[in-house]
Amino acid sequence: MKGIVFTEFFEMVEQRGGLDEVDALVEACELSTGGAYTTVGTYDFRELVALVSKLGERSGIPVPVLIRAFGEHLFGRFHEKFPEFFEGVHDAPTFLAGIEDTIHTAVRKLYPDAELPSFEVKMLDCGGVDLTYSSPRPFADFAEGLIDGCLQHFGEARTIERQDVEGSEGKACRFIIR
Amino acid sequence: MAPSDEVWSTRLGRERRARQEAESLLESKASELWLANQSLASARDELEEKVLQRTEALKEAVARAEEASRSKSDFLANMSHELRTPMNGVLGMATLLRETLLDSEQGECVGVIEDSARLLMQIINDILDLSKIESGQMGLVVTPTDVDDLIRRVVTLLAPRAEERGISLHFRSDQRARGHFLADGLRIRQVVMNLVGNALKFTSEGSTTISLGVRDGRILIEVTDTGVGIPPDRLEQIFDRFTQADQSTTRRFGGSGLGLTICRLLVEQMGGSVQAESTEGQGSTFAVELPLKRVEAEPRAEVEAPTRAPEAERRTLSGRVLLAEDNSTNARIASKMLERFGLEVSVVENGHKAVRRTLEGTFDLVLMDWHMPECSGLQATQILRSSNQPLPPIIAMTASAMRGDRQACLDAGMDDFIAKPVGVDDLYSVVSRWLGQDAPRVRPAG
Repeated sequence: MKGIVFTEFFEMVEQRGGLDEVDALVEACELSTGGAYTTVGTYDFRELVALVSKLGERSGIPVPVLIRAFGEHLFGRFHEKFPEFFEGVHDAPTFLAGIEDTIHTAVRKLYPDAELPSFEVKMLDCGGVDLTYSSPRPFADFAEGLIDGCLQHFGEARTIERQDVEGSEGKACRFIIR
Repeated sequence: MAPSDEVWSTRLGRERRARQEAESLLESKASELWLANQSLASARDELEEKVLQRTEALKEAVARAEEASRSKSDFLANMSHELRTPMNGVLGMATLLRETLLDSEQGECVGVIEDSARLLMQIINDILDLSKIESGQMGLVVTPTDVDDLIRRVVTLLAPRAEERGISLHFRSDQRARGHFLADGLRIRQVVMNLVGNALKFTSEGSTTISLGVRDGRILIEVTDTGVGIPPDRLEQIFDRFTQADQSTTRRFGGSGLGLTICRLLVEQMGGSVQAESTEGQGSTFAVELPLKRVEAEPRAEVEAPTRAPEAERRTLSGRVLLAEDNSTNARIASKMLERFGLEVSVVENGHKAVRRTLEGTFDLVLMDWHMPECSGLQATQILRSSNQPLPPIIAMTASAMRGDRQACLDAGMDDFIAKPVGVDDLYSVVSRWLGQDAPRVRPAG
């Protein structure tokens, strides 16, 4: 998993609970990296799972809720860090439809071996989007959080209908956004 | 005193900014690298495209060149045939004329016709040889060859000419150069004939010496004369085509000026070299070095010059000969020659008739032209051979004298081969051999 996800997770925790909360999380989890992440590195996704679980334990907030919140946070940060991906994009469906072609292509330029999730996109007649997520990692919640963040960013009030693929354990699911 | 939290926080902020700066630098470098790789990849694609285009263009050029070379080869084969056929008429008729009763002035005229025709043939042959070598069509036929014996034969052949000119002809041979070597005997013979021929031509008194030896593991053939010599500044140029030592040479000595060019090209094709040394007014030495591999194996029958029987030594032959020849001039010449040998001759003008008459079974020998209308000599021979009838010897007689033609005739089932223009002596020796009447051997000259 790309380092930016880890560094942004720490940013969020720091913003909401302060540096001490970050230290406490790092100490509570056994991290091979010792919690030292950079955006340009690639790290084991299980470290993120451990950190999020530990945060859930400590805060009493359910993990899926935490993950979605992180998704929203991350989307906002993407907009700050990579404004070029938002040029000429004025609504959430258009942005979501461009993830595979625009964003993932750009990521692969810098990180040819990045393992990225795939997003199959179908535009709906009603102006919504039908999006199928699949990944080697169980981050459907995280994807949902990012979609939430996207809707918030564009100020769109839409419904997200989530259909988990049976037996996929969060590695694949379908979002119908109207 | 321990730093305050504020100080730590400032330090942490500084370190974090440094980390972010480093990350951003790294990403922009990675991005540049990606762009550089992209342009390299597209440059490589362009180059590959260019290589493909060039390769295609080269292939086309090669195909065109091969086509041109084939046309040239066909042209040569045709020219060879077209030039030899009329020359056959001229030489043959001159020979027949010489053997009629002539007064001395007429005899002289016929002599000039014969000499001129032979010279013209030599020039034609030289030009054809040169063209063949230059178009890469002079293939070497390498067989175990006794070089010592080959040179002795050349000496025997040229001895009368030396004697005529009052020049002594010597042959020295080194023990180490005896035995058999892998070589194209026919081409070595051509080179030696040419060098010795030149030596005799340009020497008016004294001697010509041929020596065969070994130098640095290579066969060394040296031809030394006591002739006019070559000016030092012309030594290298004499190997150039159409060049002789000086312009007056052509007027004094004649020749096409191609002999030495052909020698050098042939020797180089055999992997060897030719060198000339000369002192003007004292003589010249031509040295040929050939890297020949010695073989112990029993040699194949060697290509040898036909043994000629001078008119005085001819015996009268008897028998019936079928002559298949479409050209009436050639037919008349050959008929007259054969009749003069004492043979009975029937002439047919195409291959079909040749097959029919041969199968009548009344002929002792068939002389077969190659190129005839309707059915060629090769086809006729193949038909005859597949008939499973007892057949008389079939001898090819053709102006197709390109190398390889002889083999084509033998492959078609012919027994022997005479190249046109046919000389009366050559014809006699081949015909008499196949009619089972041994021709007397040429008397050793010198």
